[in-house]
Amino acid sequence: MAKNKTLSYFTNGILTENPVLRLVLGTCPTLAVTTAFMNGIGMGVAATIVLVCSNVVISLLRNVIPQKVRIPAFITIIAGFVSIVQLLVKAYAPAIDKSLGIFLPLIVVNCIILARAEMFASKNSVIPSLLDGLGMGVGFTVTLSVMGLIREILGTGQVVISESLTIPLTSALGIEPMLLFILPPGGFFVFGLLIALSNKIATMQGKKAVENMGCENCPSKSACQLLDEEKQNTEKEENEDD
Amino acid sequence: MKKIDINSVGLTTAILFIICVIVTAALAGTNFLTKDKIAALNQKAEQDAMALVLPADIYTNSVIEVDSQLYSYYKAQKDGKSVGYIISTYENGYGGEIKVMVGTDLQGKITGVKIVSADDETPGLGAKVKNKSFYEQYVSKVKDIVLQKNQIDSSKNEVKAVTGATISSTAVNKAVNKALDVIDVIITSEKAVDVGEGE
Repeated sequence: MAKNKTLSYFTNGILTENPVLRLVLGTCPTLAVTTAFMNGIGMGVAATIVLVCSNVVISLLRNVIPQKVRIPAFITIIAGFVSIVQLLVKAYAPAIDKSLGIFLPLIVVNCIILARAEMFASKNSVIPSLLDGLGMGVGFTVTLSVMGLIREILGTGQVVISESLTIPLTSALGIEPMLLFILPPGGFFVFGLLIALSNKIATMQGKKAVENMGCENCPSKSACQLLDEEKQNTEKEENEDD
Repeated sequence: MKKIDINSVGLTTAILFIICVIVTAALAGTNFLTKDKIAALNQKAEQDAMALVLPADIYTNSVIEVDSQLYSYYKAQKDGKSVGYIISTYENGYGGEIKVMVGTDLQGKITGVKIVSADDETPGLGAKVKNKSFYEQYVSKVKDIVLQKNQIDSSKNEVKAVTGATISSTAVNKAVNKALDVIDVIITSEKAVDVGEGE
């Protein structure tokens, strides 16, 4: 039983609470970077490394960081890890640095990392936080790769794995590549279709379809800081009345 | 016993300060470990680009001023003889700056062109200027290259733009022409020196 719960921290981030398709976080880098399959993978791996590191550190420090300055503290730690990852990528994988460009340093403001720090790592112990970070990162990477693959195939007619290896595809099927798919509108089309698909899978797994856009139906309800604060405030008011 | 309030100004400041110090130290450490490798990689990239554009044994760096702007260029020597010049120029493309490296022979005819960076151009459109099929058109061209959108006459001094990426292609063309203009000035000034020494 305990083993299942531990594993669920990891598998959570891959489908049930997929950060991009279910929690709808990190949409900026998702849309921008998925113009190519390899870019999606590179960004996903870099973000996963930062996510795991920051989740572990923030979880270790969760009783030390004061509530009032938690956001600046989280951001400093996250930014530190992103800068370290950036230097390591520049030194040991310069091709990825070139293809990701400005989106590598922009991982700092990737909502997924701050959200998981705030909603999970600051309230849970180290191993669950590590697994959560890993799961969310893998979910992010898989989503980016799938989106990147679809957009690159439909938009350019080929998949570029490296400078030397290119897989030409639509010429085999006789279809012309549609430039639209690597431009922003195409990104939104594919994004919307993937969200619809994951909603369908969720309904098939037994979850009810969302009727209204309230707090009760938010996938992040269990970890929401706002709900916690509201509860704390109402409790405080009730205590003061005594 | 007086309870320590973790949210007091003193303690929050101290904790934030300590976190910042540790993060800064980690960054400084990583930088120290990687900076040599990064510098070496940048140097190698530049050397590789120069060898592609104009193969030679020695590249000597110089500076020339044209239209009150300083340009850094390389004079290439092979087997003891000068073989040509290499210069890098910049132009603003669609999304950002495009850096182009141009190599020419001693008469100013292009031996090779490399698109050093066009990172902010649209993938699949403007980024196609990085494809060999576009920039190898420039080989053997001379000053004042004309960029055509449609058909080109390959016997004339013109190149064809990337379809659907006129702005990026124009930027590359401007950069190449600027490079050729500067090299023209270099060639003229070197001829003047030679004539002067001959007397």
